[in-house]
Amino acid sequence: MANSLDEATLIRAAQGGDQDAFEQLVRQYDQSVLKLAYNLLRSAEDAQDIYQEAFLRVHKNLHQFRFDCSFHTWLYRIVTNLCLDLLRKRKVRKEEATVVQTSDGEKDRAAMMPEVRGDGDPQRALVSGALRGRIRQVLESLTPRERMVFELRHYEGLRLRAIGEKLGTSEEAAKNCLFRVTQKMRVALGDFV
Amino acid sequence: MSQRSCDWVREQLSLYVYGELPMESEESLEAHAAGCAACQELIAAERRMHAALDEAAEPLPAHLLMECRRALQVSLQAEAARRESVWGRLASFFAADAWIWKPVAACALLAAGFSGAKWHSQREMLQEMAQAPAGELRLVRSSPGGEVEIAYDVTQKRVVRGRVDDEAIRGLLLRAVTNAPDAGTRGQMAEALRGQAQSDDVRQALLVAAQKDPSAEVRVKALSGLRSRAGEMTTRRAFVNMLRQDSDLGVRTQAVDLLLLHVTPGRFDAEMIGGLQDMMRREENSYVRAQCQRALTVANASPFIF
Repeated sequence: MANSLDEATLIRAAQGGDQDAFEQLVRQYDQSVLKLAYNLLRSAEDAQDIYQEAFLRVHKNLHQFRFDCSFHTWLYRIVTNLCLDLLRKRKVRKEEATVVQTSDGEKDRAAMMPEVRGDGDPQRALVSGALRGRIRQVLESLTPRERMVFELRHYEGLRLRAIGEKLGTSEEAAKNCLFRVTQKMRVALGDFV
Repeated sequence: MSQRSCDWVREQLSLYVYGELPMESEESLEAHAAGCAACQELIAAERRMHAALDEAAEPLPAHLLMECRRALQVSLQAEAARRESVWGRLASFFAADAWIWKPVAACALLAAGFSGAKWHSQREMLQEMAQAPAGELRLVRSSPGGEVEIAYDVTQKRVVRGRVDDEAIRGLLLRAVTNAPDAGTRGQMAEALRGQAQSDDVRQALLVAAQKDPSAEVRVKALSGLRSRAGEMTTRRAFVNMLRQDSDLGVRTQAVDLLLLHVTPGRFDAEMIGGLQDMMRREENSYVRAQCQRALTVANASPFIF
């Protein structure tokens, strides 16, 4: 299967049982799917579950894809629904390993973060452990839908209209979600910015 | 264009910074902000908040994508094997009713899963399965009449084995360390090349990966691979360069530590000393700053530029 095949050709080939085409299709999107799941769930294990389940569903149901919307939208509907279900069901694990390898052995990444200095460059001072902690707290306090809208807009760079399409809601509802999240962030991070 | 108030700007701020305001509202907001210092500061603060949120994004663990792909492949193979065995059962059902196909003795119906939908003769499959590790054969079905169905999952994967110092093998590793699409693979390749940095082509590839790879984990691994060349001036200049330019603290820590593996004054030239002095002014992390100061002391240089 040539790399230059366009997406519709790949999808049709995959619908016809061409495993190479399916694999190419997966590779076009799997990194962003995994990134979205990992950022939302902050757990490698949960992100791996979402990845696996999403692409198995795509594989199973690809014959039903009728090109009524873009493949990206179809795939993201599956992924966002799975993530929303998981966010609703599970308490997201909080801590990931923070150890970095140095020539002096293992060191805790958090302990190596730059300290917040009032007289320093404010842009660099923002990247402090305390600030990350606050951001994480706000993210964890959001409703699953708020969290999803924020993730898709801020980190995935999707327009609010596209987010509405993917989440099966209106642009206005997505806009309100984003508005609420930025309000919460502003309150929580006010001291830093 | 109507005159807008500061309250209105405050309400529209998040949509403005995300570029989601209609053009007319955007123009109104900018017209108001042009003459309002308080609103300019609000917009600047919102942008700083965005920058902080960008910085807080969690990078994907290096091996996660590769592990996900591997697990998905296994699941798809299992699914394909299951489907094939269903076809196998259908085939044996029809064979049982057709007198010409009636078995004269026990016959083995072999289903090879996930063979890329390519037809293999039973003889070819038997030969292939005879070479397979016994642990990978599965008994799918067995009937009292002596018929068995054995499955062996095969993929299209090709595996070559060889020593890392073999030119052809090393060529593959060198290609992958800078070109593999996912960071997990590039990181593994950098680790595999760790003991080979005495070769100039390996050193060069690791230097490129350490300076240019988008993943900090890969950059750290590539840097580790350069330990045996940490005494050479060209490599040391590259370490100082990374120290000055890399935004990741782990990379900067690794770079300064490697620099300090060789602590004699002659190992620091004027360019490196200038770079370290620059770091004394800019670096915010106390550990990296202390290591830079240590290096400058060894080099008999002042930690500051007067």
